[in-house]
Amino acid sequence: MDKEKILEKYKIELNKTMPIEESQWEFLKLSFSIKTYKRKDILIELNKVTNEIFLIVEGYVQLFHLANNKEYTIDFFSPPLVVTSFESFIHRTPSKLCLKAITDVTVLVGNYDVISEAYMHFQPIQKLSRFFTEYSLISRLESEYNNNTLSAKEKYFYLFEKHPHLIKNLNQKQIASYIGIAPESLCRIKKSLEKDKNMLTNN
Amino acid sequence: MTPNQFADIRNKINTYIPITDEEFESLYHILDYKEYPKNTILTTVGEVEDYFYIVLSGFLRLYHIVDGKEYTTSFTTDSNTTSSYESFIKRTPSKYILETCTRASVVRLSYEKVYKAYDENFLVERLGRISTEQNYIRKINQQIEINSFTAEERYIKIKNEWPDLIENIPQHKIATYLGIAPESLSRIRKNLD
Repeated sequence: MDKEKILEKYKIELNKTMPIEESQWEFLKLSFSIKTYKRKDILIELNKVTNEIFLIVEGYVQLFHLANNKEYTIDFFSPPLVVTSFESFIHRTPSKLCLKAITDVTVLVGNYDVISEAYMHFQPIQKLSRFFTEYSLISRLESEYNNNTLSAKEKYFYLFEKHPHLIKNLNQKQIASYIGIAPESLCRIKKSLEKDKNMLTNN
Repeated sequence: MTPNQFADIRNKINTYIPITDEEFESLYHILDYKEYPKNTILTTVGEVEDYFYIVLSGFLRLYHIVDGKEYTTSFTTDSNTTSSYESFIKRTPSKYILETCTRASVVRLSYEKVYKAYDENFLVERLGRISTEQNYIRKINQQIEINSFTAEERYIKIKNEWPDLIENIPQHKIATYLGIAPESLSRIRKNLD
Protein backbone atom coordinates (compact mmCIF):
# COMPACT_ATOMS: atom_id res chain seq x y z
CA MET A 1 0.00 0.00 0.00
CA ASP A 2 1.36 3.47 -0.76
CA LYS A 3 1.89 6.13 1.90
CA GLU A 4 -1.18 8.15 0.94
CA LYS A 5 -3.52 5.16 1.31
CA ILE A 6 -2.01 4.06 4.61
CA LEU A 7 -2.39 7.58 5.98
CA GLU A 8 -5.99 7.92 4.82
CA LYS A 9 -6.88 4.63 6.45
CA TYR A 10 -5.23 5.71 9.67
CA LYS A 11 -7.00 9.06 9.67
CA ILE A 12 -10.39 7.35 9.49
CA GLU A 13 -9.46 5.06 12.40
CA LEU A 14 -8.12 7.94 14.45
CA ASN A 15 -11.17 10.09 13.86
CA LYS A 16 -13.36 7.39 15.38
CA THR A 17 -11.40 7.64 18.64
CA MET A 18 -10.51 11.32 18.70
CA PRO A 19 -11.37 13.97 16.15
CA ILE A 20 -8.29 15.39 14.50
CA GLU A 21 -8.06 18.88 13.00
CA GLU A 22 -6.73 19.42 9.50
CA SER A 23 -3.65 21.36 10.72
CA GLN A 24 -2.76 18.54 13.14
CA TRP A 25 -3.18 15.99 10.41
CA GLU A 26 -0.94 17.95 8.03
CA PHE A 27 1.74 17.98 10.71
CA LEU A 28 1.53 14.20 11.18
CA LYS A 29 1.70 13.67 7.43
CA LEU A 30 4.79 15.83 7.08
CA SER A 31 6.68 14.95 10.23
CA PHE A 32 5.92 11.29 10.91
CA SER A 33 7.33 8.52 8.74
CA ILE A 34 5.80 5.15 7.97
CA LYS A 35 7.68 2.12 9.19
CA THR A 36 6.94 -1.58 9.26
CA TYR A 37 8.17 -4.20 11.69
CA LYS A 38 8.06 -7.96 11.66
CA ARG A 39 6.48 -10.01 14.42
CA LYS A 40 8.83 -10.19 17.45
CA ASP A 41 10.81 -7.11 16.37
CA ILE A 42 11.74 -4.71 19.17
CA LEU A 43 10.48 -1.13 18.70
CA ILE A 44 11.71 0.24 22.02
CA GLU A 45 14.75 -1.22 23.70
CA LEU A 46 15.19 -1.60 27.44
CA ASN A 47 17.74 0.70 29.10
CA LYS A 48 18.13 2.96 26.10
CA VAL A 49 16.77 6.48 25.73
CA THR A 50 13.58 6.32 23.66
CA ASN A 51 13.64 8.78 20.76
CA GLU A 52 10.48 7.71 19.03
CA ILE A 53 6.75 7.81 19.54
CA PHE A 54 4.57 5.36 17.62
CA LEU A 55 1.07 5.64 16.23
CA ILE A 56 -0.16 2.12 15.56
CA VAL A 57 -1.62 1.86 12.05
CA GLU A 58 -1.85 -1.90 11.78
CA GLY A 59 -1.11 -4.84 14.06
CA TYR A 60 -0.44 -5.22 17.79
CA VAL A 61 2.42 -4.30 20.07
CA GLN A 62 3.19 -5.28 23.64
CA LEU A 63 4.57 -2.86 26.25
CA PHE A 64 6.27 -4.70 29.09
CA HIS A 65 8.99 -4.56 31.72
CA LEU A 66 11.16 -7.13 33.42
CA ALA A 67 11.36 -7.78 37.13
CA ASN A 68 13.01 -10.72 38.87
CA ASN A 69 13.66 -12.27 35.44
CA LYS A 70 9.98 -12.21 34.58
CA GLU A 71 8.06 -10.32 31.91
CA TYR A 72 5.19 -8.11 33.09
CA THR A 73 2.86 -6.76 30.41
CA ILE A 74 1.76 -3.18 31.04
CA ASP A 75 -0.62 -3.30 28.07
CA PHE A 76 -1.21 -4.29 24.47
CA PHE A 77 -1.77 -1.54 21.90
CA SER A 78 -3.74 -1.66 18.66
CA PRO A 79 -4.73 0.97 16.04
CA PRO A 80 -5.12 3.93 16.32
CA LEU A 81 -3.37 4.21 19.69
CA VAL A 82 -0.19 6.06 20.49
CA VAL A 83 2.57 4.37 22.43
CA THR A 84 6.06 5.11 23.65
CA SER A 85 8.09 4.68 26.81
CA PHE A 86 6.87 8.08 28.03
CA GLU A 87 9.24 8.64 30.92
CA SER A 88 12.27 7.86 28.78
CA PHE A 89 10.95 9.83 25.82
CA ILE A 90 10.16 12.95 27.87
CA HIS A 91 12.89 12.93 30.51
CA ARG A 92 15.61 11.42 28.28
CA THR A 93 16.30 8.63 30.79
CA PRO A 94 17.00 4.93 30.01
CA SER A 95 13.76 3.12 29.27
CA LYS A 96 12.37 0.79 31.94
CA LEU A 97 9.95 -0.51 29.31
CA CYS A 98 10.31 -2.56 26.18
CA LEU A 99 7.98 -2.42 23.17
CA LYS A 100 7.69 -5.52 21.00
CA ALA A 101 5.68 -6.39 17.89
CA ILE A 102 3.15 -9.16 18.56
CA THR A 103 2.18 -9.35 14.88
CA ASP A 104 3.69 -7.68 11.82
CA VAL A 105 2.99 -4.00 12.41
CA THR A 106 2.78 -0.75 10.50
CA VAL A 107 3.38 2.42 12.47
CA LEU A 108 3.73 6.15 12.02
CA VAL A 109 6.89 7.20 13.81
CA GLY A 110 7.53 10.64 15.28
CA ASN A 111 10.93 11.71 16.44
CA TYR A 112 11.69 13.43 19.78
CA ASP A 113 13.49 16.42 18.25
CA VAL A 114 10.76 17.09 15.72
CA ILE A 115 8.01 16.90 18.34
CA SER A 116 9.75 19.03 20.98
CA GLU A 117 10.45 21.61 18.29
CA ALA A 118 6.77 21.58 17.30
CA TYR A 119 5.67 22.13 20.92
CA MET A 120 7.50 25.47 20.81
CA HIS A 121 6.11 26.74 17.56
CA PHE A 122 2.96 24.89 16.65
CA GLN A 123 0.19 24.85 19.25
CA PRO A 124 -2.20 22.40 17.55
CA ILE A 125 0.35 19.65 18.14
CA GLN A 126 0.46 20.50 21.84
CA LYS A 127 -3.29 19.92 21.92
CA LEU A 128 -3.15 16.70 19.94
CA SER A 129 -0.45 15.41 22.22
CA ARG A 130 -2.55 16.25 25.29
CA PHE A 131 -5.50 14.33 23.78
CA PHE A 132 -3.29 11.31 23.15
CA THR A 133 -1.86 11.44 26.66
CA GLU A 134 -5.27 11.86 28.28
CA TYR A 135 -6.42 8.82 26.35
CA SER A 136 -3.36 6.82 27.45
CA LEU A 137 -3.85 7.86 31.07
CA ILE A 138 -7.50 6.82 31.05
CA SER A 139 -6.72 3.37 29.59
CA ARG A 140 -3.99 2.92 32.18
CA LEU A 141 -6.46 3.76 34.96
CA GLU A 142 -8.90 1.27 33.50
CA SER A 143 -6.22 -1.44 33.61
CA GLU A 144 -5.32 -0.47 37.16
CA TYR A 145 -8.97 -0.72 38.20
CA ASN A 146 -9.28 -4.13 36.53
CA ASN A 147 -6.05 -5.38 38.09
CA ASN A 148 -7.46 -4.55 41.48
CA THR A 149 -10.91 -5.93 41.04
CA LEU A 150 -11.03 -8.72 38.45
CA SER A 151 -10.13 -12.32 39.14
CA ALA A 152 -7.60 -14.00 36.83
CA LYS A 153 -10.46 -15.70 34.99
CA GLU A 154 -12.28 -12.39 34.53
CA LYS A 155 -9.08 -10.74 33.25
CA TYR A 156 -8.74 -13.49 30.68
CA PHE A 157 -12.30 -12.82 29.51
CA TYR A 158 -11.66 -9.09 29.47
CA LEU A 159 -8.64 -9.51 27.19
CA PHE A 160 -10.69 -11.76 24.95
CA GLU A 161 -13.47 -9.22 24.72
CA LYS A 162 -11.29 -6.15 24.28
CA HIS A 163 -8.88 -7.66 21.76
CA PRO A 164 -10.50 -10.70 20.12
CA HIS A 165 -7.96 -10.67 17.28
CA LEU A 166 -5.02 -10.14 19.53
CA ILE A 167 -5.43 -13.13 21.76
CA LYS A 168 -4.90 -15.68 18.99
CA ASN A 169 -1.51 -14.08 18.26
CA LEU A 170 -0.32 -14.35 21.83
CA ASN A 171 1.50 -17.27 23.39
CA GLN A 172 0.61 -18.60 26.86
CA LYS A 173 3.47 -16.75 28.48
CA GLN A 174 2.34 -13.39 27.10
CA ILE A 175 -1.27 -13.86 28.18
CA ALA A 176 -0.16 -15.00 31.63
CA SER A 177 2.15 -11.97 31.97
CA TYR A 178 -0.79 -9.69 31.17
CA ILE A 179 -3.08 -11.34 33.69
CA GLY A 180 -0.31 -11.44 36.27
CA ILE A 181 -0.29 -15.19 36.89
CA ALA A 182 2.04 -18.14 36.19
CA PRO A 183 1.57 -19.86 32.78
CA GLU A 184 0.53 -23.03 34.67
CA SER A 185 -2.33 -21.17 36.37
CA LEU A 186 -3.46 -19.94 32.97
CA CYS A 187 -3.58 -23.59 31.81
CA ARG A 188 -5.86 -24.41 34.72
CA ILE A 189 -8.16 -21.47 33.88
CA LYS A 190 -8.40 -22.53 30.25
CA LYS A 191 -9.13 -26.14 31.24
CA SER A 192 -11.90 -25.07 33.59
CA LEU A 193 -13.37 -22.88 30.83
CA GLU A 194 -13.26 -25.85 28.43
CA LYS A 195 -15.10 -27.92 31.01
CA ASP A 196 -17.78 -25.22 31.43
CA LYS A 197 -18.19 -25.06 27.66
CA ASN A 198 -18.50 -28.85 27.32
CA MET A 199 -21.10 -28.95 30.04
CA LEU A 200 -23.11 -26.31 28.21
CA THR A 201 -22.97 -28.15 24.87
CA ASN A 202 -23.81 -31.51 26.46
CA ASN A 203 -26.87 -30.06 28.13
CA MET B 1 -3.49 33.38 49.00
CA THR B 2 -0.47 34.26 51.12
CA PRO B 3 2.83 35.16 49.41
CA ASN B 4 4.23 31.79 50.53
CA GLN B 5 1.42 29.80 48.96
CA PHE B 6 1.77 31.89 45.87
CA ALA B 7 5.48 31.04 45.71
CA ASP B 8 4.73 27.31 46.23
CA ILE B 9 2.48 27.18 43.20
CA ARG B 10 4.90 29.20 41.15
CA ASN B 11 7.72 26.79 42.10
CA LYS B 12 5.63 23.80 41.16
CA ILE B 13 4.89 25.22 37.74
CA ASN B 14 8.53 26.13 37.34
CA THR B 15 9.56 22.52 37.76
CA TYR B 16 7.48 21.79 34.65
CA ILE B 17 8.47 24.79 32.57
CA PRO B 18 10.17 28.09 33.39
CA ILE B 19 7.61 30.89 33.22
CA THR B 20 7.75 34.66 33.49
CA ASP B 21 5.88 36.80 36.04
CA GLU B 22 3.53 37.89 33.32
CA GLU B 23 2.74 34.32 32.30
CA PHE B 24 2.14 33.33 35.90
CA GLU B 25 -0.28 36.22 36.28
CA SER B 26 -2.19 35.00 33.24
CA LEU B 27 -2.88 31.75 35.16
CA TYR B 28 -4.00 33.46 38.30
CA HIS B 29 -7.71 33.55 37.47
CA ILE B 30 -7.94 29.76 37.12
CA LEU B 31 -6.17 28.94 40.41
CA ASP B 32 -8.45 28.50 43.41
CA TYR B 33 -6.71 28.11 46.78
CA LYS B 34 -8.47 25.94 49.39
CA GLU B 35 -7.77 24.46 52.81
CA TYR B 36 -9.54 21.36 54.09
CA PRO B 37 -9.65 19.56 57.43
CA LYS B 38 -8.69 15.90 57.69
CA ASN B 39 -11.12 13.32 56.20
CA THR B 40 -12.97 15.71 53.90
CA ILE B 41 -14.55 13.99 50.91
CA LEU B 42 -13.78 16.07 47.81
CA THR B 43 -15.38 13.78 45.22
CA THR B 44 -17.45 10.69 45.70
CA VAL B 45 -18.70 7.77 43.60
CA GLY B 46 -21.37 8.78 41.08
CA GLU B 47 -20.46 12.47 41.04
CA VAL B 48 -18.81 14.08 38.04
CA GLU B 49 -15.35 15.31 39.03
CA ASP B 50 -15.24 19.07 38.59
CA TYR B 51 -11.72 19.76 39.83
CA PHE B 52 -8.13 18.99 39.30
CA TYR B 53 -5.98 19.46 42.44
CA ILE B 54 -2.41 20.56 43.04
CA VAL B 55 -1.62 19.43 46.57
CA LEU B 56 0.48 22.04 48.39
CA SER B 57 0.52 20.47 51.85
CA GLY B 58 -0.91 17.34 53.44
CA PHE B 59 -2.11 14.19 51.66
CA LEU B 60 -5.03 13.39 49.37
CA ARG B 61 -6.13 9.79 48.87
CA LEU B 62 -7.87 8.40 45.79
CA TYR B 63 -9.58 5.04 46.23
CA HIS B 64 -12.39 2.83 45.01
CA ILE B 65 -14.56 0.24 46.71
CA VAL B 66 -15.54 -3.12 45.23
CA ASP B 67 -17.53 -5.70 47.19
CA GLY B 68 -16.99 -3.69 50.33
CA LYS B 69 -13.24 -3.70 49.89
CA GLU B 70 -11.20 -0.49 49.54
CA TYR B 71 -8.45 -0.15 46.94
CA THR B 72 -6.25 2.92 47.30
CA THR B 73 -4.74 3.84 43.95
CA SER B 74 -2.81 6.93 45.04
CA PHE B 75 -1.67 9.18 47.85
CA THR B 76 -0.78 12.64 46.58
CA THR B 77 1.42 15.26 48.24
CA ASP B 78 4.50 17.44 47.50
CA SER B 79 2.86 19.69 44.90
CA ASN B 80 1.81 16.73 42.78
CA THR B 81 -1.56 16.68 41.07
CA THR B 82 -4.60 14.45 41.51
CA SER B 83 -8.21 14.13 40.46
CA SER B 84 -10.71 11.42 39.63
CA TYR B 85 -9.22 11.79 36.15
CA GLU B 86 -11.45 9.63 34.03
CA SER B 87 -14.49 11.46 35.36
CA PHE B 88 -12.77 14.86 35.07
CA ILE B 89 -11.73 14.32 31.46
CA LYS B 90 -14.73 12.37 30.15
CA ARG B 91 -17.40 14.05 32.32
CA THR B 92 -18.70 10.63 33.42
CA PRO B 93 -19.69 9.64 36.98
CA SER B 94 -16.66 8.99 39.17
CA LYS B 95 -15.83 5.42 40.18
CA TYR B 96 -13.45 6.78 42.78
CA ILE B 97 -13.55 8.68 46.05
CA LEU B 98 -11.10 11.51 46.61
CA GLU B 99 -10.53 12.54 50.22
CA THR B 100 -8.05 14.40 52.37
CA CYS B 101 -6.36 12.04 54.81
CA THR B 102 -4.59 14.78 56.71
CA ARG B 103 -5.23 18.51 56.87
CA ALA B 104 -4.48 19.71 53.40
CA SER B 105 -4.05 22.85 51.36
CA VAL B 106 -4.56 22.66 47.64
CA VAL B 107 -4.98 24.70 44.52
CA ARG B 108 -7.94 23.45 42.59
CA LEU B 109 -8.68 24.15 38.95
CA SER B 110 -12.22 23.78 37.69
CA TYR B 111 -12.95 21.77 34.55
CA GLU B 112 -14.81 24.65 33.00
CA LYS B 113 -12.01 27.17 33.50
CA VAL B 114 -9.20 24.81 32.51
CA TYR B 115 -10.80 23.65 29.27
CA LYS B 116 -11.73 27.20 28.36
CA ALA B 117 -8.18 28.34 29.11
CA TYR B 118 -6.75 25.52 26.93
CA ASP B 119 -8.12 27.34 23.91
CA GLU B 120 -7.22 30.84 25.03
CA ASN B 121 -3.84 30.47 26.65
CA PHE B 122 -1.02 28.43 25.10
CA LEU B 123 0.72 28.19 28.42
CA VAL B 124 -2.24 26.42 30.01
CA GLU B 125 -2.43 23.97 27.10
CA ARG B 126 1.25 23.24 27.57
CA LEU B 127 0.92 22.80 31.34
CA GLY B 128 -2.09 20.54 30.77
CA ARG B 129 -0.11 18.33 28.43
CA ILE B 130 2.87 18.16 30.75
CA SER B 131 0.87 17.44 33.88
CA THR B 132 -1.08 14.69 32.07
CA GLU B 133 2.23 13.15 30.97
CA GLN B 134 3.55 13.30 34.55
CA ASN B 135 0.45 11.58 35.85
CA TYR B 136 0.66 8.89 33.21
CA ILE B 137 4.34 8.29 33.99
CA ARG B 138 3.56 8.09 37.72
CA LYS B 139 0.88 5.45 37.02
CA ILE B 140 3.21 3.33 34.87
CA ASN B 141 5.97 3.55 37.48
CA GLN B 142 3.53 2.56 40.20
CA GLN B 143 2.57 -0.55 38.21
CA ILE B 144 6.26 -1.42 37.68
CA GLU B 145 6.78 -1.03 41.41
CA ILE B 146 3.82 -3.28 42.27
CA ASN B 147 5.18 -5.92 39.89
CA SER B 148 8.78 -5.66 41.06
CA PHE B 149 8.62 -5.33 44.83
CA THR B 150 7.02 -7.12 47.76
CA ALA B 151 4.49 -5.36 50.00
CA GLU B 152 7.19 -5.11 52.67
CA GLU B 153 9.64 -3.42 50.30
CA ARG B 154 6.94 -0.99 49.18
CA TYR B 155 6.03 -0.24 52.80
CA ILE B 156 9.66 0.61 53.61
CA LYS B 157 9.77 2.93 50.62
CA ILE B 158 6.61 4.77 51.73
CA LYS B 159 7.93 5.01 55.28
CA ASN B 160 11.15 6.62 54.07
CA GLU B 161 9.49 8.87 51.55
CA TRP B 162 6.40 9.91 53.50
CA PRO B 163 6.97 9.44 57.25
CA ASP B 164 4.19 11.99 57.90
CA LEU B 165 1.67 9.83 56.08
CA ILE B 166 2.50 6.68 58.07
CA GLU B 167 2.26 8.58 61.35
CA ASN B 168 -0.95 10.41 60.61
CA ILE B 169 -3.37 8.03 58.98
CA PRO B 170 -4.99 4.74 60.04
CA GLN B 171 -2.87 1.75 59.04
CA HIS B 172 -5.70 0.01 57.19
CA LYS B 173 -5.58 2.81 54.59
CA ILE B 174 -1.90 2.09 53.97
CA ALA B 175 -2.74 -1.63 53.71
CA THR B 176 -5.30 -0.91 50.95
CA TYR B 177 -2.55 0.90 49.00
CA LEU B 178 -0.17 -2.05 49.39
CA GLY B 179 -2.96 -4.48 48.44
CA ILE B 180 -2.64 -6.54 51.62
CA ALA B 181 -4.79 -7.27 54.68
CA PRO B 182 -4.33 -4.97 57.70
CA GLU B 183 -3.08 -7.98 59.69
CA SER B 184 -0.32 -8.58 57.15
CA LEU B 185 0.75 -4.96 57.46
CA SER B 186 0.85 -5.34 61.28
CA ARG B 187 3.16 -8.33 60.84
CA ILE B 188 5.41 -6.38 58.47
CA ARG B 189 5.62 -3.51 60.95
CA LYS B 190 6.42 -5.85 63.84
CA ASN B 191 9.21 -7.50 61.85
CA LEU B 192 10.71 -4.12 61.09
CA ASP B 193 10.76 -2.94 64.74
